[in-house]
Amino acid sequence: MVIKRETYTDYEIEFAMREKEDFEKSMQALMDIVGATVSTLESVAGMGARAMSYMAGKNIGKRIGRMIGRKPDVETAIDALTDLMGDAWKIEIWKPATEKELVKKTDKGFQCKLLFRDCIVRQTLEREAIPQKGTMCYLTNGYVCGALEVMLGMRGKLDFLHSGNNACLKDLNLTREGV
Amino acid sequence: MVQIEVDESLCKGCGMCADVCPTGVLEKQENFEPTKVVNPDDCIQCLSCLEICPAYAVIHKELIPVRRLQIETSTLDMIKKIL
Ligand code: SF4
Ligand code: SF4
Repeated sequence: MVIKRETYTDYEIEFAMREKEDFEKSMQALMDIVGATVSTLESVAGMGARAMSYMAGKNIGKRIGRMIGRKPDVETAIDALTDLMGDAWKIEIWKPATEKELVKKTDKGFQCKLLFRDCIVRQTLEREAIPQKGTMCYLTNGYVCGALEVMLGMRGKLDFLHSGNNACLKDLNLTREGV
Repeated sequence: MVQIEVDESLCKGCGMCADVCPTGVLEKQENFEPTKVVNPDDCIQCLSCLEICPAYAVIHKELIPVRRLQIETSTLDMIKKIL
């Protein structure tokens, strides 16, 4: 949310800030519910919970992708998704300094690395003392992948390269096969 | 941009930071010499090196910490009641 002093009245600013606070409170509540649900799911379904949550994430992501609409390239699609997700996620395309292109062409489509900076799931895991790269992270991967698939009209796969306390690095592969 | 340093007076040369770094920023040295920063531009600020270092020898400057939503205790209490 960008608030410019010169264009908004004090009342409008206060209202916007209150809305933002309400959003944060609901997000916190949601984080706790999801955290509790996921740890229960993992104890019941074991490793299968990851595949299930990846697919569930993909379904939600596809809905988000339809809401955003078609995008011409990966960069624009990531920007649109990050914009929509507001304070919950901040995702960037990342490349090593020595490489030239952010997004590489492959035989069947595109490949790039995604850097997840702000991540509401990471916060939830930290708060609930759940390790990273588990069910909730797979839900996130599915969600982002599903949204990108619809926005770009391609098939996607999002895998972990690294998960850290302050950022996670993931590998995104998009292909035109089977679309 | 983040600047990363290894405090040579503290570093034990175990190389755990280099092992955990996903982008090859740090390089373990022979004979437990202090680890070197060899590729600072590729630091993604994940802080895994900082977390794993037993000697607190890794220093990040100009780091951008990720956003953390504040914990509203009243909201948590409400949720705990529902759960
Ligand atoms: S983990 Fe710490 S002590 Fe070990 S090599 Fe790295 S900086 Fe040195
Ligand atoms: S913060 Fe992460 S990317 Fe940067 S040096 Fe440490 S482990 Fe490597």
